[in-house]
Amino acid sequence: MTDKDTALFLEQVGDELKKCVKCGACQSVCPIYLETKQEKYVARGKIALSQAASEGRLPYTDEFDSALHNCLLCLSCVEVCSSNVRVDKIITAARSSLVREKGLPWPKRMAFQALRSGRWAQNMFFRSGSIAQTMLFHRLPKTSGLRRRFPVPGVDKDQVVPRLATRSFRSRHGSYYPAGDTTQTVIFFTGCSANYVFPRIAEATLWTLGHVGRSVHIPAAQMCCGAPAECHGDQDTVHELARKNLYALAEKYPQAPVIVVCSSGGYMFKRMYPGLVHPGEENRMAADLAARTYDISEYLVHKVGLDLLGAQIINPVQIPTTYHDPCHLNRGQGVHVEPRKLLDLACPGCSVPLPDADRCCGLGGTYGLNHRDMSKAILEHKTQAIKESGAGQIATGCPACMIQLRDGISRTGLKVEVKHTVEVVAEAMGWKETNL
Amino acid sequence: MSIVQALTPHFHPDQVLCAEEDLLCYAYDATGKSFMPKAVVFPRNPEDISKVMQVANEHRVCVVPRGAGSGMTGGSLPESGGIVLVMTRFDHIVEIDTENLVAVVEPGVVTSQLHKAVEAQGLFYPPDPASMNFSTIGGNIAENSGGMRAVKYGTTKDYVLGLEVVLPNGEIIHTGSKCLKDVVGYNLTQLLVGSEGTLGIITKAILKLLPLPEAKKTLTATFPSILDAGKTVSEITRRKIIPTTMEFLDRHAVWCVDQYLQIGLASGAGAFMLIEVDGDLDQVEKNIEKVHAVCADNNALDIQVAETPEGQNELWRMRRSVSASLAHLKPVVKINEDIVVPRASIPTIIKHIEDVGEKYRVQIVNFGHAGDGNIHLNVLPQAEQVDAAHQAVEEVFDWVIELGGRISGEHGIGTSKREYIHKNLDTGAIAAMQAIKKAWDPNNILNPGKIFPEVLPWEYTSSTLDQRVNISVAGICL
Repeated sequence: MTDKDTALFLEQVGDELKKCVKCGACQSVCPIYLETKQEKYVARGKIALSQAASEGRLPYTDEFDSALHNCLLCLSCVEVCSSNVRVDKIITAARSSLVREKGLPWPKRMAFQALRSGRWAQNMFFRSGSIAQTMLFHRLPKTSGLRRRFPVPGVDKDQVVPRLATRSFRSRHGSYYPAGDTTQTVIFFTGCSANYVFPRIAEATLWTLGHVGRSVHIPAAQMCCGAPAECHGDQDTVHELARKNLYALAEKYPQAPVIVVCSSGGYMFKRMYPGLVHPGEENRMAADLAARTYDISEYLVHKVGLDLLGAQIINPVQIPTTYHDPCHLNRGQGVHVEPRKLLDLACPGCSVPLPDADRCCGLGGTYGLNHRDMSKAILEHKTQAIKESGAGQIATGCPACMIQLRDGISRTGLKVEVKHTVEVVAEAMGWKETNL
Repeated sequence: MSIVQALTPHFHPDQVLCAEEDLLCYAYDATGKSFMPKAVVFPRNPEDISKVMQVANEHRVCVVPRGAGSGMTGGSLPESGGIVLVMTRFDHIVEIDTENLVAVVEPGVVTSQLHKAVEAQGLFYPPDPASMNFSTIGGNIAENSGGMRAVKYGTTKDYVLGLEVVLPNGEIIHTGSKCLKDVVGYNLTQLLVGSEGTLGIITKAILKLLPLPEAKKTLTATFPSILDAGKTVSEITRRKIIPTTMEFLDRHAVWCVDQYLQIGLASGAGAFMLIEVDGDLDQVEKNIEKVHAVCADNNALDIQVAETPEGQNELWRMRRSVSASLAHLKPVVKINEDIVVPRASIPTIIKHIEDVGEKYRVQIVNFGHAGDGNIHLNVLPQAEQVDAAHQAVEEVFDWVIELGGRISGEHGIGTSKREYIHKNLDTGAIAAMQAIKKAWDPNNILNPGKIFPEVLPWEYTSSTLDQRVNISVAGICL
C-alpha cells in the first residue's frame, strides 16, 4: 500500500483490525474455510494479512489479492465473533485499496459504468445481455433457466443460468398505482434482479401491496443499490449510486416506507448507506432511509399484520415448503422470523424446516462467477439439506440465492420449485400470474 | 539447503507451503502473538509426519504441531521459526463403537462435530471447552482442555483411553487401548495428555463415551454478593448434588454484561450464577428444585429456570456475552488468566483479587467455573497501567498458591506462563519433566521452549529477570 492508501485504510478499519483477538471462532462458520481448511481463507487469516499489508510487511501480491477475493461476504464470521469485528468492512476496505492501487479489470469497469450511468444505459446493458443469451443458451423446459449452447467463459456445461427478461419490470409499469387508501403509500425499490431477471417477484410484490390496500409508488429514477460495486471495492461507484438513490427515494414521498425484495438492497440501505455519505444533509437522508426501509416480509408481518393477511389466504399451498435464509437478510438485517411466519400462514401445516437454513448458498453476488468450483462445493451442502428437508418448494428472500438454488437443484435432479417468499404469499392470496 | 528444499521432494506441492501469505497465517494463535515459521506442512498420514520429523532432526529445525490455533497460552506458536505442522486434514471420525462405548477419531476433528456425531447415536463426549466449535480434539488432548461440564464429568484426560503418536524421532507408537482396564507398562497415554505438543504428535485417539443424559435443566440467579454465591456452591455440594455446570460472574463482570446487553438486572446484583443439572428426568426435577431452594436460602435476588433449548439459550446469553462485553471497555491489552483454587476457596480468592486490583489500581473482572474453582481472571489495564497489571497478576498467583491452587486450570502453560511454573512445581518435579523431554526428544526438535522457561528460576540473575518475557495474553475465554 502507498502511505496515503494505508492512512485511508487504517482510518476506515483500523479499529476493526485491532478488535480481532485471533481466537479462531470464525473457523467454525466460514463456508470457504470449511471447504479448504486453510487459514488464509478464514477471517482471522485475512485480517492478519490486511494487518501485515497496512504495516508494510506484505506487498499487494496476487496471493493476497486472491485471499481477499475468496470471501462471500456472508457475514457468518461477523455473527459468531465475540469481539464484534466487522470483517465485511475490513474486506471491502482492503479490496478498495487494491482497486485504488491496481485499478479495476475492464469487464468490471464497464459493468459498473453501466450501472451508474442511469436508466437508459442500464436498460441497454441488460437488454444486450438478454439478446446475447438467446444466441448462446437454450431454454430449459418448464423453468425460466437456460443452459449454454456453446462454450461461454465462466459458465459450466451443466450450469443453469437465469433468463434475462426481454422487457424489464419497470419499463412495463408506470410510477404510481393507487389503492383504496391513498394515505398509505409505499415506495417500491425493485432492485436490478427483480427488475431485469425475475420480474415475477416484482409483479407479485406490486399485486400483494395493492391487495392489502397500499398505494405503490415506483420511482423511475431509482438505481442499482451499489452492492456489486461495494463488494468489488469500487467505492466511487457506490457513493454515486447511494447519493442518486437517496434523492430518488425521498423525492415524492419522503416519509413513505421503502419496500425492498432483495436482501442486498435492504442491507445496503439499512446498514451501509449511513456510513457511506459524509456528515451533513445526505447523511441525515441516509439515516432516514435506513429507518424507513423494510424487507417485504418485514413490512407484511409488522405493518400489515398476520391477522389481515391470514384472512386473505384463499388458496393455501399444499406442497411441503421450506425456507433458505439469505445471508444479507438474516445476518445482514436480522430478518429471519418474518419470512417463516408468512410461510406458516401461506402453507398451513406444510411448512417444513431446512437443516442449517442460515448457511450461505455459495453464490455471494458475483463470487460464484469467479470461483465456480468453490461455489459449487458450498452449494452442495445446501442442495443436500434441501433433499433432506423433503420439501417440494423452497422460498427465499433473495433473487441471487434463487439463481444459485435453481442451479444446485437442477444439477442434482431434484424436483423442487424455487420462489421468492412474496411469490408464495401472493399465490396463496389468489394472485394469478398474468402474461409477463 | 533450505528446509523447504529439504521437504519438497517428499511431499505433494499442496502439502508444503512457504509463500509469505501462508507463513503469516500460521504465525499466530489465540494469544495474539505472532512468530513467522519457515514452512507450513499439511501431513496426510502418520508416515508423512515421520518423514517431517526425520528431515527436521537431520536439519535441526524445530516442528510445531497445530490444530485450530485457538490455544490461549501459545502452545502452537512457532516461537523459534521452523515448521508448522497443520493437523486439520486429519479430520475423520474413524469409528463410533456403540458396544464398547468408545470413539476412535483423528486429531483434526472439531470437538463439537464429535459431540454432534456421538449424540446422534444417544452417546455423550462430555469435555466442552469454550472453543469447542472450532478447537480440535488433538489440541484438546495436547492441552488437556477443560470446559463447563468439568464439575460433574471431569476434563479431557478422563476420556482418553489410547493414542497413536508420532515421536520426535519419527517413530509411530501406540499407547493404551479400547480396554477400560489396562495396566501394561507406563501410562504413556496420560503422559501425553497435556504435554502441549512437546513429546509427540497425536495422529489418532481412542476416546471414552458415556450414555447421553436424558434431560437437562438450567437455572440462573443473581446474588447481592459473591459471598452469597460462594455459599450457594458450598451448600449445593454439601447436599450431595453435583450439577453439570456451575458458572459465575463477579460484580464487575455483571456490570459489564448488563451495560453491554442492557438487560436491566436487579439493582444490587453483586454476582450472577448459572447452574445446570442433567440426568434422568425425575432426578433432574428433584435436583433443580433443591438447587432453587439453596439459591433462595442464600439471598438470591432473582431466580429463573429453563427447560427448553430456547429458554436455556436465553439464560446462557448473559454468560456467553462476558468476553464481548469486556472488549467493549477497550482496554489496551486483556490479560486473561486461568487460575484454579479448591472450589470452597472461591469467595476468599475473589476477595484477595479485589484487594490486589485496588492496590495496583487496575480493573480486574472475574468469571468462570465456580463448580470446579477455575476462575478466568481478566485484568484490563489502560495504557499507563500495563506494568502494574503484570505485578497484580503475579501477586494474585501468590494468593492462589497460598490457597492450594494452580496457576492454570485448563489453558496450559505454553509460552505465557512458563516463567511461573516454579511457583507450582518443585525443583525436582521440573527436573524430572525435563529429563523425560530430553529422553524423548534429544535434539529438542518438537515444540521447543514451551512449558519450561529457558532459564530456570533458580538460575535467575538480575539481568535475566529484567529480560523476562511479558505474560500479556490478549486472548479471550468465553
